[in-house]
Amino acid sequence: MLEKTNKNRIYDLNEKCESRAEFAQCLRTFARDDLTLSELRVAVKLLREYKEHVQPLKIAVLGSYTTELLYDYWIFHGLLHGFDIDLYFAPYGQLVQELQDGSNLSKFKPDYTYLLMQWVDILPGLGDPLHGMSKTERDLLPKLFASSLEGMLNTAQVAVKGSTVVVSFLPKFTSLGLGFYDVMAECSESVFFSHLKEILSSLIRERFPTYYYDDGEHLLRTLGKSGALDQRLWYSSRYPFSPNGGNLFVERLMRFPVLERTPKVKCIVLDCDNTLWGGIVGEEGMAGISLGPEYPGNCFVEFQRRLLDLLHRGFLLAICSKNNPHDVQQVIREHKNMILREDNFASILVNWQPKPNNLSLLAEELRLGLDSFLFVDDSPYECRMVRKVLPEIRVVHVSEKPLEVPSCLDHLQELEILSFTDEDRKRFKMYVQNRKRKELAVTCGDLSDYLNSLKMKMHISVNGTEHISRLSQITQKTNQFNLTTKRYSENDIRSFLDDDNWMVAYFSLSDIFGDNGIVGLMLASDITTDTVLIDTFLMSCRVIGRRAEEAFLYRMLRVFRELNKLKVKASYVPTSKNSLVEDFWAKLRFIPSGELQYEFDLANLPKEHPSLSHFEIQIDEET
Amino acid sequence: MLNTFEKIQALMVEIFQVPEEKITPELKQEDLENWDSLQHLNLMLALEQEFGVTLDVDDLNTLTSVPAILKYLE
Repeated sequence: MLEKTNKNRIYDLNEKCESRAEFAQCLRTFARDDLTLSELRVAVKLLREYKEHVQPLKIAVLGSYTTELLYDYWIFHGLLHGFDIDLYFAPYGQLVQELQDGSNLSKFKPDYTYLLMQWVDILPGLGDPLHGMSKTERDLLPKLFASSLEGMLNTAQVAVKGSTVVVSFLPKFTSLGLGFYDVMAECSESVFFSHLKEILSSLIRERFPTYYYDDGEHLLRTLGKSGALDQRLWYSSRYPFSPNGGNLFVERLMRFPVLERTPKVKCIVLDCDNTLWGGIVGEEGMAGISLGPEYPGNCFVEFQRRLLDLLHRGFLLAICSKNNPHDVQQVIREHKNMILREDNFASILVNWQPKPNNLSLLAEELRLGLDSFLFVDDSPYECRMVRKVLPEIRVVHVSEKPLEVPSCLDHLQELEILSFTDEDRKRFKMYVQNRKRKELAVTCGDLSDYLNSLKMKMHISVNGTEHISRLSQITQKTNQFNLTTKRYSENDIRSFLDDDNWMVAYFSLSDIFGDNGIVGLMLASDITTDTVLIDTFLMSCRVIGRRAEEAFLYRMLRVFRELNKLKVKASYVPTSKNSLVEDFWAKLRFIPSGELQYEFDLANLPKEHPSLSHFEIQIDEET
Repeated sequence: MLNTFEKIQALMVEIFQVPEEKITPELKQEDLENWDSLQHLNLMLALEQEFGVTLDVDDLNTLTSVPAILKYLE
């Protein structure tokens, strides 16, 4: 008799770990291959023994098939990420009843509600042979489907108010109606379902922006039909998954709370030797490393391509390597098969200092928290050291087998995203520009020379209506350089723009290295009176240290003066994060007029201010 | 080393969350409240993983007592 289970490997693993986070990280590499149910229960028991904080999370699962057997997987994947899950399973097949206000589900008040269904639950017609229908009948189905699902989600908005709802459809067990010919057929079932999914995802994106759709088809892509699903359990008990299938399914569904409620990875910090390329450049020289069209160099080229994908997905890349700086620089600049070049890295730290020191420096330089780093290194020594010294950093150990390198980041939930915008695509460029600015500052020495060498252009817009969502976003996101920290929605901004008593002024900043976009905002009220009140004054931390705030403020004071205003009043509202600007008004020669209150007499406005000389200022005023 | 019965017993204790002495060599599904249809499936899946066997769909309905399971495994 064969004995497959080895609970001891779980106990052994736990022995070696010092924190739940470390144990969880090790377990997650295990969880991808076949962790048996017994091992999983042992892991749950051990995870619970750690004293670190767990956050409670209420999850409701509504299924049109048996879902209770997924219980252990939910608990397991929750604990891996520090969630103590309170699970509610709606009675089997009671989807519609439970989505009524006042139901047990609604009393449970879930944080997340999962609707696990089959396509036919929403529209029975989807179970009929598509190729048996006329084109008109077939074309009608997606519309009927969307309106039926929309109705269901509308009731969910009432029944589980405030809960995030995730919709997932089970992949079909049966083969395609037209079989082998499907791919060629005008009424192709595969094409039909792709179209249906497109309609489904745009419905959710547009009508239910806080809800999500997860494509169950991924199970088949990863594990194959026979690996993911279990015919025996499906036909005998209406439970569709094999143990591995159930595990992977829940892992995917847990990504939503994980990504929304645990610290986000923002920057991937990479080692060089045997990570970005094969071999050790310090020993073998640039010509000796493996990076090119042949094995094993092609594995590293492929890995760099994956990193480029992640860069454009919105993650920053940085290098932290123990090497001679010149060797690494030469490869990055001159090696013909490098995919990633200097312009792709937010920071390149190459020296012989311990890596934890470098990581702390990097956090300061990029103004990011250590918990937003993902550290990727082939050396078990370095990985262990970072885990020990900086436990908040997530660590990926790169395999010594080149074949396993390209996919080593593929399964990380931390690198998944829940939305994608233009800003994400271009984020890294801002950081790369900042790095270059700093390099220039070092060569300049004198601040004033440096600022002049940037050839900065400030574009101020007064009451412009084109960037309402960005303006709202910066009031929500700016913490450090923010005098009053008032948060405003797009509707608030719109109402200020419509109100004659308010002025909305903002600026964008560009220089020889590129455009920073809109980085500063001033909201002023009482514009129709003699004394203007500055309600909000903030600037993105991207551009701190360039006197842009001074130039912007003085230029705006001149605008007020031109409007024949007499005085400007301002205030500072302290928060835990904005001590940077506690002296701002005083430094800019505003006179204290009460506790944290300041005012400026426009009669005293000097003709020039030193900060203004660093900028070429353009100002657009909407009337 | 545990014998086959002891291994089954350990699995049942874990799945049904009952004390060891409740799992006797004569135990039948109807004698144990926690051995419901849902936990029965968990047990079947665990048997497959622990003993490296693949059960037939009909076995799922007939392996409803410790003697039946023991007989199947031997």
